[in-house]
This record gives sequence, C-alpha cells and structure tokens, in this order.
Amino acid sequence: MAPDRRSAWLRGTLDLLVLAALVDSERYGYELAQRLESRGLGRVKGGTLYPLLARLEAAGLVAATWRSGEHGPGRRYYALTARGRTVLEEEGRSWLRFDDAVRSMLEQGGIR
Amino acid sequence: MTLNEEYLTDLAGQLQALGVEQRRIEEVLGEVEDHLAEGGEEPVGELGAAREYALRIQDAAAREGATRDAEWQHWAFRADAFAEMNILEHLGREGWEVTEVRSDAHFSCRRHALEPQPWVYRRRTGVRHESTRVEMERGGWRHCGTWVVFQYFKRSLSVAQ
Repeated sequence: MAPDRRSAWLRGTLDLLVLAALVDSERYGYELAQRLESRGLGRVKGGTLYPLLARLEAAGLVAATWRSGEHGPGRRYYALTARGRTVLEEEGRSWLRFDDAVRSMLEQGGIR
Repeated sequence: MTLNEEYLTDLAGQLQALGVEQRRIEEVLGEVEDHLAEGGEEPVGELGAAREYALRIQDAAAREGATRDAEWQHWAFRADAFAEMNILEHLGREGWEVTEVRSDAHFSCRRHALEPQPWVYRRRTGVRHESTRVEMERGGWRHCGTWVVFQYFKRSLSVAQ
C-alpha cells in the first residue's frame, strides 16, 4: 500500500485514536505512541503526537497532569475529560458511518 | 554536550523567543527528554528541527486556546532582530495578522478563528521612516509597526499573488 495514503488516513483520525486510547486509563505521550503502534496503526512520531496533545488539551478534550519522575525528568499524563468523551462518542460514530459507506462501496466493487 | 542536550537547549531558546511561559517550557522539555530517553530516537528525526517543533507547540495551543468560540484569536510574542522575520513568516502562513509592534519588540497578532487569511511580512531598515512607508504603501504594503530602526509591513497573501 502506498505509505502516503496510509499516513493520510492516520492524519484524519489520529485525534480520535488518541482520545480512544485514553478511554480506560490516563497515559503519558510515549505510552500512547506505543499503544497506537501495538494496535497496528504504525509509529506516530513525537513531532506529530505532542502538538496534537497540546491542541486536544487547549480544546478541553484532554487534561494533563505533570508528575515528577523518580528516575527521569518527570512525565505529563493525559486523561480524557467529559467533553473529550462526548466528542469521541459523536465523532467516533460519524467515522463509523463513513467507514460503513466506504466498506459498502468496496464490497460492491468486489473487494472482500 | 550530547545530541539530546543540544536539541533541548535549542528548543528551550526557541520556545522562550516565541514567548511561551516558563512553566510550560519546562513541561515541554521534560516531556521531550522523557520521550527521547524512552524511545532512543534521534531528536531531529523524531520531532523535527527545534524551531519547527517549538512553532508547532506554540501554534497548537494558540489555535485552540484562549478564544475558542470567539471570532478572533489573539497572540502576542517578543522576539529579536535575528528571529522575528522567521517567526512572522510562519505565523503569516498560519493566518496571523500583526496588529501592533511596540517599541520593546512586542508583537501583537490576531487571526480569524473560522476563516484565517495568510499574510506576508517585510522589514525595512533605516531612519527615513516616512519615505520608506510611502514607497512600501505604493507597492500595496501596509505599515504594521516600528521598532527602533526597523519598520514592519504586511500584505495579505491574496493581494501579494
């Protein structure tokens, strides 16, 4: 598959994927990147992930808490806010409807 | 100094030049240091050049922040004569219009929240402010501020093209 197409898909959904990755637990940045990679979404670089987290935080969709680390410089943990959960539910459903439409067209075109 | 330390030092300077508050700078640096230590990646490849990364972090907060539902977003920063044109070039592309330049190199900008319009900037150096201004305005540039010997002019990109 053309890598630019896959990265375009990821660009369009990365905010939702990050919000979804925070549903069950707060996480720090690198942990989020690993989570996404382990689910087959490829490796998201820090240069993409942290500016996105800053946007989500400024929009009130995630809340960040800074915790000093025993061994490292400290970590910024991100948690889903109530507003973030609402946006995830609404936008997530919207994406699934789009996914259904794409799937239906592809199946009509003989893709299984 | 290691590669990571060099990058973090550079990044700290870039964030300071963009007027990011100290507490936020420390958090950004801590987060980046942690990320690089854990992933073992080379900093520029992982995050991009320090200046670009600093601009993305600053822009991310400015884009969504402060006046989330208002018509206009506002942003102010301080810079020096070595950095300000690069910053203005970036901010202009992102739709920020300089509305004031104070004598202490304090730049005030605004951007329409829903329909941002790109801007381009020029700096002219000299003390013959009035004649420079007339000349630039003939070329479609609008004066947006003066700082010591520097005069700044703006033009919307649609006019420039």
